Amino acid sequence: MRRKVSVLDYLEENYINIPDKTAVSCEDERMSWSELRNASRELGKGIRESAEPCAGKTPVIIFMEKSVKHVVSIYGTLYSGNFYVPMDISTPAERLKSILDTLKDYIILTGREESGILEKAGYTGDYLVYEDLLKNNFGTSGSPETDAVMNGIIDTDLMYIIFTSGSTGNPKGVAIRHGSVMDYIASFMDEVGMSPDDVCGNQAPFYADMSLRDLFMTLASGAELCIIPTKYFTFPLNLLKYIDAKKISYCMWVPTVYGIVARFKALSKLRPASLKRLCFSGETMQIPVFNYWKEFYPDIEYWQFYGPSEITGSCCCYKVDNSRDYDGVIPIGRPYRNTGMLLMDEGEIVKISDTGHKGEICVYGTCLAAGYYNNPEKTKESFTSLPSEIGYDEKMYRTGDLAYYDEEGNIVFSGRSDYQVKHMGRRVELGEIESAVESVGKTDACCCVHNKLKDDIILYYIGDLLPGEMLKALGQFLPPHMMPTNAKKVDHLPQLPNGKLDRKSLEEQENS
Amino acid sequence: MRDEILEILKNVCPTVDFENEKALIDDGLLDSHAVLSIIGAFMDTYDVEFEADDILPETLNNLDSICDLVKTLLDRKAAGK
Repeated sequence: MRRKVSVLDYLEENYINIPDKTAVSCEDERMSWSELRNASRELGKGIRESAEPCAGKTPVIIFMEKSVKHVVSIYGTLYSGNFYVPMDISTPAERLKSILDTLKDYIILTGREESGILEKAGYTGDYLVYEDLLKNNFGTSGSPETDAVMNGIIDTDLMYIIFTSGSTGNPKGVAIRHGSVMDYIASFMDEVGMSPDDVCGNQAPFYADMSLRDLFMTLASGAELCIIPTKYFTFPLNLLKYIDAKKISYCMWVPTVYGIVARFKALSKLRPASLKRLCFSGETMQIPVFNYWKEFYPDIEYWQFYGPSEITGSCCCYKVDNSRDYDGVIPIGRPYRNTGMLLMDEGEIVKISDTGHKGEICVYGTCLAAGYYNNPEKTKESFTSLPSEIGYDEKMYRTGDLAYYDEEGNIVFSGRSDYQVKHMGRRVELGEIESAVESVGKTDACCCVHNKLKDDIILYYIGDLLPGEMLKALGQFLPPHMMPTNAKKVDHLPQLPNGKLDRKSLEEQENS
Repeated sequence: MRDEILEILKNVCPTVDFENEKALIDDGLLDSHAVLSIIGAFMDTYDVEFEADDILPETLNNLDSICDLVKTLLDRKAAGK
């Protein structure tokens, strides 16, 4: 059997082995593996020819709502010999501009509907329209040039870039290679697995790297990727109805979503019988929320994952022991095979036997990103040298997350070491919000704090604008998930003796 | 009552025109975060409990339906259910 170098090799295999099985669905729309493969190849040819003289290896921004056509666009981009950059269509103009500046050269691929949103965001350049490319290339899926492009992929080539929040106000583009994703697939399949009969209910937006599991584990196992449109996550009963109707068996969601179902006790109204495996990651799972789900599904599998975008999806996992009562936290487990994880404290490696000793989580191995795209300074800061006793001239990624070992040798997450917080399942740099407040102007000082219990971001500021005006103005600079929940205009902000802002006292006040 | 509810809504989502918009959910004016913030504000102000079938697109689509929902919740609280 020929070895697989990129995800396209899996797609070609499914095309041969299970051509008529459903590959991806969303509400009433569905596509089989052969339809997905053929449309992706046709789109790839279209991108390649429309974008000439760009020979390939150019970022293709996919500016689309999460949808079946977005999935085709991901594979289509790869078949074109380029790498993809999934983009939130609610990205405000300022952030979009900053991302485009970072990418320098790029191609934008959008849908006919979404092109209006793109123009509204102030974009005036060229773009490719998905529907036009597919129409103009219909029937060309057998093109031998497409095979040549696919076979020319080397696993050190970039596969995608995902933009995360950056503390200076500039978003950072995490650049990931094909080889890292292939390694992630192998790790996940070894340790967790997915069966061809599974229907995977996708929650994560495609511009967040949590969606890698949904997209590529279904690909590798031949399972169905069932996209759950964002609107369902506001209404717990509608979400459960959708799961029931689509016979979803496998979910990998942020804990917030499990929390919404638990908060309104939705499972007592409807308990879908199809669920077999529930996974969570992206933030801490609250034990009462977990216990609520376990009450309704005592015998299914629960898994917790951990990993920032810089290490491609997740680097460790933990299978929950259903017979155990977790009174504090659920561990994040142990690293996958072929992935290294260290806890570092003041330059020293924390020993596994040193239970309870906190250190910063550092990760190394094939899973590591190539770096932050066109940002060597930030790359150097976060991707540092692995201690020489562990590896020769190797890099590791410093996550900024703190953790310790429990008595069983599992890693337990214990918080952030800086001002990054998890808000609604997404990573948010409070500093980036504060930079945006400065961009609004008319402000003397500000400080953002996170209310952990309510998962609210509160902006305290001294300035002329009323809270409503401030939030409205911030909307020009920040994507929705980074908007403060509440703005409080104050006369003064607490200070430390050295004159610096006393962030801690505000945090304590908010969390007391 | 209606004015008080409007005030709460405006506080939570200052950029949304609750008086004139008739399809807050269908038109995508309230996202998941906004809906949960609104529910949180009602829970704090009126000490009411929401259940899964109170939170539907049709109950939160405009100011009238939101007022009806709050009234139903207050009646349910008064009846001790």
